[in-house]
Amino acid sequence: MLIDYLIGAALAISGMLALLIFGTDIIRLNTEARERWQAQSAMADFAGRQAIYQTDLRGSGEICNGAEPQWVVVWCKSHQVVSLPKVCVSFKAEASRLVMKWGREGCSGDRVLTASRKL
Amino acid sequence: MKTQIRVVMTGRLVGGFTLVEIMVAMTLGLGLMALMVGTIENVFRASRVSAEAAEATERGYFLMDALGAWVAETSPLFVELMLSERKAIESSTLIDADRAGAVSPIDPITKGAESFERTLTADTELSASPLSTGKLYSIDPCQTPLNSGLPPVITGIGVLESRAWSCIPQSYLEVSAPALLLERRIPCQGDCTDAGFYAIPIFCFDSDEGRSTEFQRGEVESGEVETGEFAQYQIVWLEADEDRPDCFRNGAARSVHRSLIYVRDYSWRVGDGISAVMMRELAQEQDARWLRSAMLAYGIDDWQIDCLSDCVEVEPWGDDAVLAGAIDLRFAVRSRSQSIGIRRALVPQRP
Repeated sequence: MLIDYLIGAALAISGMLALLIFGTDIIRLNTEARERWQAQSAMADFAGRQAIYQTDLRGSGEICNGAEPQWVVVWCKSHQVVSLPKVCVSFKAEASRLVMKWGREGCSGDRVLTASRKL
Repeated sequence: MKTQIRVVMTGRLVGGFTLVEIMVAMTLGLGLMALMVGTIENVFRASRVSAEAAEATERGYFLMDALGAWVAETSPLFVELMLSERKAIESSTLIDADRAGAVSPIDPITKGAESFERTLTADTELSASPLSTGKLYSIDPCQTPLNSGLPPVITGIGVLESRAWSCIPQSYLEVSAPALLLERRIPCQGDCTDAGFYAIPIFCFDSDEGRSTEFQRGEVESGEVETGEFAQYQIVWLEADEDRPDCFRNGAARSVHRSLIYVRDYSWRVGDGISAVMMRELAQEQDARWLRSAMLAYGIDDWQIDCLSDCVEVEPWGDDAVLAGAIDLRFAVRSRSQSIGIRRALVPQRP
């Protein structure tokens, strides 16, 4: 008798756990998709401002650490950039690409998300 | 005693649950069910909220991307000022090789960032001229590009006060939100055979021996921009069956489309309180006729447009009305659970 209950309870709990896992995964995927949209949009905004201010980015590396040019500083502090978790923005001069990396565990490692745009 | 009776009556042993066992099982089962239903509901609710937020984000970025693409098509049409017409014709031959059609007829030496600067300089010079400012003041956004066109030499972007214009439906208008006037100039690559408004470089006619001058000088007179050295493009109206010069096949001529983007205070039903971004296009007909508005996106709040470069104030268009070289567009997309802010600098494509 007891074994019947235990099997039933185990099945029910497994079902709930599976649901939780699927649900959490769906939420994670939605969040990631939203963050990717946001990063792409932020980079489109960057490209637009670069066209307006006619700035040539020189050299590869992080672009949000410097104090020049002013519009890049403002862009780096904009909501669409800072609201991405632990975001790093870099420029690859050889490919003329703006690269954004972010993730809850920082902008390096296995679980980092990346988006890029050719400028 | 009961078991013994059952054995007697059926001839075999009959097992079963006691009342206590059944009650315990039911209690446990109900408890588990309650827990399960609660969990399922929570998971579904969280998924729905997340999916709605993702959908709202997608809607917002779709709107922004669409507007970005349209703004990119509003590039100023600019012919190198120092070119003689002969050279201009030669440069039009060079354009022929450019299959993308994104490049306006500019001397190859000036292609690239420098040419973009030149167009901006042209904007600035034009905006500084009292004559041209007077001309800009007389532009009616509700009219056709032929009767009241933006000068081709400036970017085809205008920020208007929505209340002031009859071509923007005045009922249920989101009054605080500015309207956006876009005059798109799309390169013709042999596909501009329909009736419509076209911006045509003057050298295009001059290089085409088969065309008579009355066609260019007569019909286009009202749409011509008389800004001296900037008068390089003309706005014309062409019927569907009318012959097209060669520049309609190499991207030098542009098809001109005028549209208005504005915000109204409902999406599906009057009074539903969900703001929507609407688009209204001018029909490609000789007399101004605006087509029915179409909804671009619903649930859009805090719609704001700032001019980023080459801003020319046009007072008759309303307070804060400007012709803009580029704009900074901001809005918030609302879903049931949250609001997502989106912002982007929208600039015309580099010539």
